[in-house]
Amino acid sequence: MKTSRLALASVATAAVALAAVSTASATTPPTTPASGGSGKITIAMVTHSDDGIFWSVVKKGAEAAAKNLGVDLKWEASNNDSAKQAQMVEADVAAKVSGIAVSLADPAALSGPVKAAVAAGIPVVTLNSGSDKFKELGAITHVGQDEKVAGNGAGEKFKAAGAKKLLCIMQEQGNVGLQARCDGAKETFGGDVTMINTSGDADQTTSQSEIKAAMQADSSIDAVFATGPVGAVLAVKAAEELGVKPMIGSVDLSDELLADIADGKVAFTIDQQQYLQGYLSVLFLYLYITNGNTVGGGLPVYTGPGFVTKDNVAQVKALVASGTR
Amino acid sequence: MSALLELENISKYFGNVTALEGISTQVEAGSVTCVLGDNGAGKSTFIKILSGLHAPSGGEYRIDGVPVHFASPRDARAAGIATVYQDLAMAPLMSVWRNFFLGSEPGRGGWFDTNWAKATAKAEMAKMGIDVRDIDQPVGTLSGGERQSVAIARAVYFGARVLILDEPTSALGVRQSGVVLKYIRAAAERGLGVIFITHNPHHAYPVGDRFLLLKRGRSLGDYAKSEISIDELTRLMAGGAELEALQHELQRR
Amino acid sequence: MSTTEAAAAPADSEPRDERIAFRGPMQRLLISPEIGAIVGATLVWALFWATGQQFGEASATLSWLDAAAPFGIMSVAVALLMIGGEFDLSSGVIVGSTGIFVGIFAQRFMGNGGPLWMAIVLAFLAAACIGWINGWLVNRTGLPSFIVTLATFFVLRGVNLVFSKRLMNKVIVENINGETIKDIAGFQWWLSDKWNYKAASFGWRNQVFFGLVLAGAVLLVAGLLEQSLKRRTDRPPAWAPVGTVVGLAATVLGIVLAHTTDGVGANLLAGLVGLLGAVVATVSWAAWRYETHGPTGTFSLTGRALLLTIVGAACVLLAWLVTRPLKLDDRRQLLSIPPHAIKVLIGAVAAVVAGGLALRYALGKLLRARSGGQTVGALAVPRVAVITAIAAGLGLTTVIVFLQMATVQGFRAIVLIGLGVLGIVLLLVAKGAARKTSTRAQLLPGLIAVVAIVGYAVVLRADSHAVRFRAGLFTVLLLIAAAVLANTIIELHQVKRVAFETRPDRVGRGLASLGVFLAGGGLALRLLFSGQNIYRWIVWWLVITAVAAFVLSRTKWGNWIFAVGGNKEAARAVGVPADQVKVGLFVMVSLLGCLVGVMTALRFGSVTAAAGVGKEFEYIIGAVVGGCLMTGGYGSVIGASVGAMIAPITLNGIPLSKWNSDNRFIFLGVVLLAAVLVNQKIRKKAQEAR
Repeated sequence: MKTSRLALASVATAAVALAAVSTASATTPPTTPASGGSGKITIAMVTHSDDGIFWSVVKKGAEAAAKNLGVDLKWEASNNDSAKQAQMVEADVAAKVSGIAVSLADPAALSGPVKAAVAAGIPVVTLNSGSDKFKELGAITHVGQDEKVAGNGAGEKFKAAGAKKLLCIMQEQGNVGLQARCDGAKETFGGDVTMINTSGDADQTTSQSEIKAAMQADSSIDAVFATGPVGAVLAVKAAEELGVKPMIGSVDLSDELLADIADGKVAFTIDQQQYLQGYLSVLFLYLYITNGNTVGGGLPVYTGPGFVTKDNVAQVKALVASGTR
Repeated sequence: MSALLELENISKYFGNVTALEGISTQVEAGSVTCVLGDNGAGKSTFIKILSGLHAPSGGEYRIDGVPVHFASPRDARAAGIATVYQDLAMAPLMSVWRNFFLGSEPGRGGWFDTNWAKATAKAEMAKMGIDVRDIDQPVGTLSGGERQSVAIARAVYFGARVLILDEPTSALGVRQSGVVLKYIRAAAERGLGVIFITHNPHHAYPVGDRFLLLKRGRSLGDYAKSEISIDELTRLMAGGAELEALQHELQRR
Repeated sequence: MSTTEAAAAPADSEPRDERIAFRGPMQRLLISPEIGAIVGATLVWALFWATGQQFGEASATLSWLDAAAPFGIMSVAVALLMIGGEFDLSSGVIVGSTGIFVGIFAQRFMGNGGPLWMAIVLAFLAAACIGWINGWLVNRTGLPSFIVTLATFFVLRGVNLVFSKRLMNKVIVENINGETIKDIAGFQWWLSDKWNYKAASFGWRNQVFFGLVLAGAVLLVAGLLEQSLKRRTDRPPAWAPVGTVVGLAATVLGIVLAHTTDGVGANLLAGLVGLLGAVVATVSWAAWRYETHGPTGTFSLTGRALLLTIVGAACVLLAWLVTRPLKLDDRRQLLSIPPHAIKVLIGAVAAVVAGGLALRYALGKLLRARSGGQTVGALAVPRVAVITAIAAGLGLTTVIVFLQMATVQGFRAIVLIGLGVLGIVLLLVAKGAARKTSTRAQLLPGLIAVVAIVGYAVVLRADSHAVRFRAGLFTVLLLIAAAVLANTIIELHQVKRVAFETRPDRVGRGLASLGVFLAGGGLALRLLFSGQNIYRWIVWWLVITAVAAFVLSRTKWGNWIFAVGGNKEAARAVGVPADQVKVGLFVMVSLLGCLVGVMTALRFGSVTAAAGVGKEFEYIIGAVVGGCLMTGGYGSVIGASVGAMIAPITLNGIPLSKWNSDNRFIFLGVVLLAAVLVNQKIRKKAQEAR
C-alpha cells in the first residue's frame, strides 16, 4: 500500500464536492505529435487519486513526461472508488489505448480488468500501490516506494548517526503502512526500538502528551522516528518541553516540518518522490511501446527513499512551492 | 358577600355539539366543591373553562362577584386560579425543592437562592402537613400521593386562591388516596377554594362541602353537604334511576 | 392559623418514615453523580502512579492535565447539553472547523490575510450560528438531536476538507504563527501561552504546599465530623482540648521531622509520630465538640459481620502467603512450570466450579418453574446439561488462557494486589455491618483492618524494587490505616447523627469544601512553581468548570436546564422558556468548541482537516462517566470534568509505565465501562439504602 498520509486523511470525506473537483480535472493536456511515431501514443494513467496534494505532484510528473516524450496522457482519478477505477481500466482497454499505468490500491477489484488489458496486448505498469501483486497480474514493472524500504532507510540513518535507542511513533493505530515503516526501521537500526501509537493528527494535544510520556519514560531514547510530518513536529515540541535533544526523523513533507529541518530540529525526512511515480510510469511504458525495453528485472522500481536534510531543504522547499516535490 | 368563584348557567358548544349546558355552582373560600361525573360527563371541558383554556359559549363566570373573561391560562393563573393536572408538571429526577420553585426561582438576576428555596419548600410543605424528610430527594422517588401533595403545596405557595385538582386520586391506592384527601382538606383550611374533580363519591363525600354532579354535559344537581347523604350521592353517581330501571328489567326476565 | 398547626402536629408525632434515613457525608458523596468518575480517575491515577516512575511528577502531571484541558472544556459543555436532554455530534468537528477557519482567514482570505481578531470574531459568530441552527432544527422539527447534529457533523467535515484544499491546496492548514500573522501575540497570551516559573524562584514552595495541604486535611476532617456527629451540650472532658492541641502539634512535628531527617529509621519514626498525633487529635476533637455516649453492646461478632471479618483477614493473609514462594522477577509463563499435575488439577477445579454454578442456577430455575406449576418442555433437561457443559468448558478455557498469558511475576502481582485489596475492603465492610449491631462490635473488625493495612503496607514496601511502592504507597497505606483507626475509636464513643440539622450540615459542607480547596490550592501552587510549562487552557478549563457548576446548581438557568432535560412539557407548563434554553445550550457547546479550536490552532500553528473528528464521542463518554444520564435531566459538570481526565491519564500513563501501547484501547474501554458501572451500582445501592 503506497498511499500518502495526506491522501489517507481525506479518504471517505466530502464525496460530492470531490467528485465535482475530480471530474473537472480529468482533462487531457495538449500534446505535440510523436516525432518518429507511426500514429499517436496514448497512455492512460488510472489512479485512486483524490486530487490532494500528493497526487497533484504525481500528475505533474506524468504530464512532464508526456510532454517531453510527445505522447498523449489520459489522467483518470477514481477518488478511492475501486469499482469506478476498474470501469475506467475496462473503458481504456475498449478504447485500445497504447499503455496503461494503474495504481493497485485494491488489487482484488482491479485484477480482472488489468489481466484483460494484458490479454489484449496493452502493456501495463503499476504505480504507487501494488508492489507485491504487479508480477502476478502480468504488469511490466511497478514504480513506487515500499514502506519497509523507507523504514530501512531511516533505520540506517539513525544507526549511522550513532543512536542507541529509537522511539517509533505511529499516528494511526492499525495502519499497515505505518507499521511497515516502523518495522523497516527496526530491521536496519539494530538497537533497541520502542513503538508507540498516538491519538493521531486529529488530536495534536493528546498526541504530543503521549509522545512526551514515551520520551520521559526512557531517558536513554536518543532517536525518534515519526512516521508522519505532524508527529515529527509534535516530537520536536515534546522534546523541547522535556529539555532533551534526540535525533528526529520523519516521512513525507509539510511546511512546518521543512522549517524544523531548516532549523536543525529535525534531522531528515523521507520523501517518497511521487513525481517520479508519474514520470517514470509514463517513461517506462513509452520505452516498452517504442523500443521493447523492460526495467526492473521483475522487481519493483523504488522511487525512494529520497532524503530531505538541512543540506537540500532550501531546494526542496522551492520545488514544493512549484508543485514537483 | 359573594362567593370566591361562581358559575352561572355556563354552557359550551363545539359547533353543534353541546359539551356543557346550564352549569351553575359556586366555590367559597375555605371550602371544597366536588365535581362528580362519569367518563364523558364534561368534566374536562369544565376544567378547561375554569382554567381559562376555553371561553364559555354562554353564562357567566364570576370571581369575587365580578364577571371575568380569560383569554389564556396565564390570565387565570394571574387571577389566582391554579390547576394541578394529573401529569403534575414535574421533572422526576429533580429534587423536591427544585421542582417546587421550577419556573419561579427565587433570587435576584439569574441567582437561585437555594438555601432559602430548600428551607421555604420544606416549611411550606410542613404547613400543609406534608413531612418530606429529605427535601433533596428526587420527586421520582416519592409515592404518587406525595407527588400530588408537592404539586398542591406548590400551587398554594404561589398564591393560588382557587385550586383545581383534576382527578388527583384516580391513579392511587386506598392509603395514598387518603393522604391526598387530607391535603385537600388542609388546603381548604388555609382559606383556599378547592375544586376537586373525581368520579369516586367515596373520595368526594368526606372532604367536600358542595357537590356538583355532571352527566352528559348537564347538571344532575348542585348540593350542599347538608342536602345530600353519601348513599344518595352514590346512587346518583352510579346511574341512580337508570340502575333501578335496569334492575327491574333484569328481574323480569 | 391554629388549624395549620393542628394539621402539622400529627405528622411530627407519627413514627419516622424508615425509608428516608439520614445520610452522612460519605453516603451523600456515594449517591452524587460524580462518584464513578472520581473513583475511576483516582484508581487509574493510582495505578499509573504506582507503576510509572515519573507519573506523579510535576512534568508528567502537567502533561496529562494539558491533554485533558481541551477535552475537559468540551465534556463540561456536552454535559450541560446532555443534562438538557440533547446530544451534539458536531461538537468534535467544530473544534477543527473553527481552527481551520481562523488559520485560513488570517493567512489568505480573499487573496491575502485578514486580521486575526476579525478571524476570531467571525469564527465565534459562525460557531454561534451553527449552534443556533442545531438548536432551532431540533426544536422546530422535533427530530432527535442525534440525527440533526449528525447532519451538521457531516456537513462541517466536508466543509473542512473542501475549504482547506481549495484555499490552501492541502488537507492541513499550517503556519498559523507569528511569521505570517502579525497581531497574534496578544491572542496567544490569552489563549495558548504558558506559565513557567522555576521552583527556585519561590523558596518557600514546599513549606507553603505542606502547610496548605495540612490545613486542608484538618478542615476536611473537621467538616466531615461536623456533618456526621451531634454537637454536645454538656461539658467536654478536660483531656479533650489537651489531646487535640498535643495531637496537632505532634502531627506538625512529625511532618517537619520527616522532611528534615534522612534515613529510613528516622523517617519512619517521624511518620509514626505524625500519624499517631493525627489520630489523637481527631479523636480528642470529636470528644471535645460532639456528644459522647460511651460504648454500647458487646464485643462479639455475629452473622455476616463475623463471616466477612474472617474471610477478609484470610484474604490478606493468603495474599501474603501465596506470594512468598514466588520470585518477584520470574518472567516464566505459568504454563511452562512443572509440576503439570497441579495445573491439570486447577483446570479441573475451575471446570467443576463453573459447571457446578451453572448447574445450580439452571437447575434451580427449572425446579422453580416446575414447582410454580409451569409446564416444562421435553428439552429442559438436555438444556440444563448443555448449559452446564458450556460453563465447565468456559471455566477450563479461562484457566488455560490465564495460565498461558500470565507470567509468575504477573500472577504474583495479581494475587498480592487483588487479594490484599479485596481483604481490606471486606474488613471495612465487616466493620460497617458490625456497626449496625453495636458500637463495641465494630471495634474488633476495625482494629483487625488497621493491623491488616499496616501489615500489607510493610509487605508491599519490602516487596518491590520500585521506589514508588517503597515510599509513596507505604505512606498512603499508613494514612489510610490512621484514618480507619481514628474512625473506629470515634465510632466506639460517639453516636452518629440520625437527622438532618441545617446549620451543622451547612457548616460541615463549607469546612470540607474549604479544606479541599486549600489542598487543591497547595497542589496548584506546587505545580505552578515546578519549572514546567503550564498552558493557559488548564486555567480556562478550571474556570469554565467552576462557572458551569455554579450556573447549574445556583442559578435559575441551571434549574431550567435540569427541567428541560427531565420533562420538557412540564417545564414549559410552569413557564420555563424550554426552546430558548435548548438553543442556548447548543450555542454554548458550539462557542466552547470554537474556543478550543482557536486555542488549538494558535498553540500548534496547524490544524488538519480531520481535526476533532471522532472526539464528540469522547466528550459524551466523559460526560456519561461523569454521571450524566443519556436520557437527560440528571448529571454533573464536575463529574464530566473529572471523567474527561480518565482518557488522558490512561494514554499518558501507558507509555510512562512502558506498557505496550497496542493495549491502550482495551484498557481504556474496560476502565470507562467500569466507571459507568460503578456509577450505576453505587447510585442504585445508595438509593435503596435511603
